[in-house]
Amino acid sequence: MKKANLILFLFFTSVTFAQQDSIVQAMILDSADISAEKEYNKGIDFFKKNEYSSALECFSAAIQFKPGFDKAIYNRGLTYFEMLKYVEAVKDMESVIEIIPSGDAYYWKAKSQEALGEIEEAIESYGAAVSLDKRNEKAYYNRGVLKFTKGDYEGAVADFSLAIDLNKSYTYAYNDRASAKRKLGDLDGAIKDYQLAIMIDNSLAFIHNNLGSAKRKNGDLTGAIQDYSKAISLDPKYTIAYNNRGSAKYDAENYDEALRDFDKAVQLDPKYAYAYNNRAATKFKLKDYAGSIEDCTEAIKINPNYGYAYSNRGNAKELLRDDSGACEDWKKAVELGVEIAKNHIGDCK
Amino acid sequence: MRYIILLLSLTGLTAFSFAQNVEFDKNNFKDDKDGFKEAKENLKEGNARYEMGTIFHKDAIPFFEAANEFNPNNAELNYKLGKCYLSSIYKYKALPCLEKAIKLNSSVDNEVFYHLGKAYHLAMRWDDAITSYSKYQKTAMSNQDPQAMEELQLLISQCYNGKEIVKNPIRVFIDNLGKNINTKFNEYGGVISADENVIVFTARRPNSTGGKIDPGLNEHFEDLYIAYRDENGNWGVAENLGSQVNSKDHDAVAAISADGQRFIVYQGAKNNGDLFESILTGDEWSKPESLGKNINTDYHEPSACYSPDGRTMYFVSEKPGGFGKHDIYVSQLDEKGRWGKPENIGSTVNTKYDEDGVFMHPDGKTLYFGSQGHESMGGFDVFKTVYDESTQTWGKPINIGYPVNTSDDDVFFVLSASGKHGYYTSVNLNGGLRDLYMITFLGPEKPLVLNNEDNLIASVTAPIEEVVVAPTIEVKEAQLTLLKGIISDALTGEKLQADIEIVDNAANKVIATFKSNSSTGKYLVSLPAGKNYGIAVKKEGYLFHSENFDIPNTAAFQEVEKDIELKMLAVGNKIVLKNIFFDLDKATLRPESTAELERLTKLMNDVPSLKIELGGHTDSRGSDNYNQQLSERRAKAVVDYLTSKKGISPDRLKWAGYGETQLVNECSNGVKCTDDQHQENRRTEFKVLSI
Repeated sequence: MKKANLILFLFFTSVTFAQQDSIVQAMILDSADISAEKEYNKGIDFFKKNEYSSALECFSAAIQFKPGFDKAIYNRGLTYFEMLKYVEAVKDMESVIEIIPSGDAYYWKAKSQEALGEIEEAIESYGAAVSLDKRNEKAYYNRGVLKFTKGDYEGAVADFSLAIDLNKSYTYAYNDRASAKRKLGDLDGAIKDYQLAIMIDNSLAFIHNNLGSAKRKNGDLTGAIQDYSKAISLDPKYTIAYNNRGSAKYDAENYDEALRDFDKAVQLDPKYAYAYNNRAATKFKLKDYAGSIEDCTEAIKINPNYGYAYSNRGNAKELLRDDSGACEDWKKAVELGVEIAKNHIGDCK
Repeated sequence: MRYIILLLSLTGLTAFSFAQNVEFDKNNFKDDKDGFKEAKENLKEGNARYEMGTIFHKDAIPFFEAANEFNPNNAELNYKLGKCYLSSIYKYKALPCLEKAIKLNSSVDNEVFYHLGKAYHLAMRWDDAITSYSKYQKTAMSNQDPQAMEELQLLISQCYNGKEIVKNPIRVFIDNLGKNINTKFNEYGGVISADENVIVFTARRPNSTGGKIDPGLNEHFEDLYIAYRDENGNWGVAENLGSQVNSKDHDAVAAISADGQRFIVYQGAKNNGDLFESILTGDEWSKPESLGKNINTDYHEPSACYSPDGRTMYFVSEKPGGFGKHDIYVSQLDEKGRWGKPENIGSTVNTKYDEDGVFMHPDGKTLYFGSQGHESMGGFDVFKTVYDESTQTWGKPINIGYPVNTSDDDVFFVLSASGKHGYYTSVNLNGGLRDLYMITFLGPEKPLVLNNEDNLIASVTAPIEEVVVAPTIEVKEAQLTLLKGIISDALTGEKLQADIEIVDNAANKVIATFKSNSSTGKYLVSLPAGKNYGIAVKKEGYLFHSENFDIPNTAAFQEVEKDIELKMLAVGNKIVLKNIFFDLDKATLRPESTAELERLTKLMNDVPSLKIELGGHTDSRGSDNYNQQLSERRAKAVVDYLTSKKGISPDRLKWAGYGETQLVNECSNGVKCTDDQHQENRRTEFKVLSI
């Protein structure tokens, strides 16, 4: 029992950050088939050492010795999951479910389906998991994430709330519920949830960044800049936060300081097309149209389908009186789906 | 400490001595007696001109400048020089002089704060101007001068307007029209044809007709000049329009027609200033003729413009009975081609102050004009007002914005048909006098888009892109279509002067007639959006040519070049009747066809021996058999109309249906074509069988 628990603990730690729940339910105490038990326990040892191929062999041998050996099938499924063989993992979890339906088997089936990109199926499996185990906060949380991914923000808010009901200190759930509320346009609600997440754990730079973005969207540029700065102080290499703080300063028409943030962002990540594009917009505002064109060109070099960079470059070219160049860029932006550029090409020949 | 006190005392002394008024007294210049003598002489010369009145103030400037160079610390001289600058085109030089005059002696003149206010106003230092005007207001109040009080109120309100207007400058490029147009002399008041290929402007150059100097301004008399743009878009060298157009007195251009074939000239010497018209025939401009007694009065008529159809004239007159000084009036061309009794266009546009510089945009509904009233930010500003056809009223005038409008006088402004370019006059700060400039309007700032992303989901490493909300779309107002080209003989290529008749098909009404130029064959017509236009090009001895332009209200500006070849009235020649319309899939003539059928009737009546065939044609869509029958029924419908409704003898008319057998393009059965291409094939033609 002790051995198995240890393996499980290590297993969950290795699978994903913050996974702590138990999924292998029991040790083999009364098996009729000793060989199967031996192989099973060997498998757990290998798994513990991250030797998944050997673990897989052992669990498969155990199942061969004892067909219908649900725990061996379950552990093999987990092993497959670790080996990124999600199709096999799904199959094993389905086999387990056929033998003894369990919340854990559904949970890992859902995780495997999620990894395979089968979002609807995964949501269904998480649903089955929580119907069998209503205390599975992670299943609610993960389902919320999937609903968020597919744009069902209301569904996501509901699931994150269920997760929070089960775990009042669930920092991630607060953060993600805030993000879902933000997507729904409930910026005040989002800000409140981000702040609650920070009250639980104020060491996570990304939550400060997210809070900054919600405030920026809400028009509180000073507050946004403070939050981005906090994120940067927690993680001085947080490129996204520099890019965002630059944008907040841009919105506040503090273009010189915005420029410095975008400079830092591209210094940290010379392939960060957004920061080049945003720096180009800032240079435009500072009437450095040549510099603006240069940065847009760099952004386009990194991402040749970057429609907004074409649109912005067209604007800068217009002010350098390169009408044909501007039109060429705006037309390309339209081709790449930038709606606003349609307004600009009216006077192009 | 003692050292510091001494230093402060010295600094104070220096400042004091700098601010001290220095009189032109020989005792103050004992070391430079010659210089003093010369300065006194300059002062005398300057004062002589200064005392002659405001229009001579500019002539005093060189003398005052020389005297001021010798003694820059005389309050009175600085005040007078500042005032003189305000009366010149170098108004911006006035401010330092007036500031210094006040520093030297704040009571140098009762009106010093009025002029300082004006100088601040011109420099767009709005708050300083308001303060100065307010200081002068106290003097005016104590003098109980109601006129001065009213003017001050206007000036102060202009400053408040200016403060608001400059907060949102319009985005423009401003380009000098270059050395082929502008010289070191004064050029101003440019007017352009709708396609911006012809410019006529006023200039005061040494080669002015008559060669006289205006004694009032000590400048050459005004003459009209013309320039043409070449195929590369560059202006050719401007030429004096010659003694046929220019008189020995002042001649200033007021307007040019959309097609550049006629213009209105202001002649100052006649009847307090009247308006005349010159017409281009071939390559010769006619001697300007008065616009008639309904336009010209004993009062001042300085400005006018044509509507795009040439049938309405807007003009400015100072005659009594208006709302203020100069007002804008409107007159319609009567059946005999004379300008009818004018009407004041109303108090929405005309104010108790001056209006001038009227210009009707080729869209036929937007009137630009200069006004000292409304929400001017100083002197005249250019405003626009839009005529609402449904309510038959002018909209509230809108200031067209800074930097086209400034705190100085901005009156003469014209806009291209596309709305993209404006033309105006400004002082050349690089040493010239007034020059002509082109403004390129860039419209509101095109939104820049920033991109951001966040780690919205805690358990997912990849950041999520922030959705970019598309900014508000700029709604462009309905525009117009400029139709231009060359009319020539289809056989010889000879350029022809032909009549161009514009018909509102829905109203079955001729709304304008133009002529192409007899030597170049060029024509240009402006077709404001919102109508189905039938265009007939007619010349005696030729078959008429018809075009159709259906331009919805929502149509954007477009310039269409269409050269038209007229065919002689000869056996076998065919003409497409583009303004004959049928109901969908039927042979019922639509009412919009009336004007075209009238033209056809007239041709048949004018040439009694003429026999023609009406041919119906369809596009390739639908079955061949159906199309054949439809084309026959339609051709017959036209013949039936001419015989039964117009009394044309049936033996002069034949009809034939050609179905889809004579397509004019490659759009035969199975070939994918646009609606426009199919439209080309759906047509009614007539063919001359015998004359």
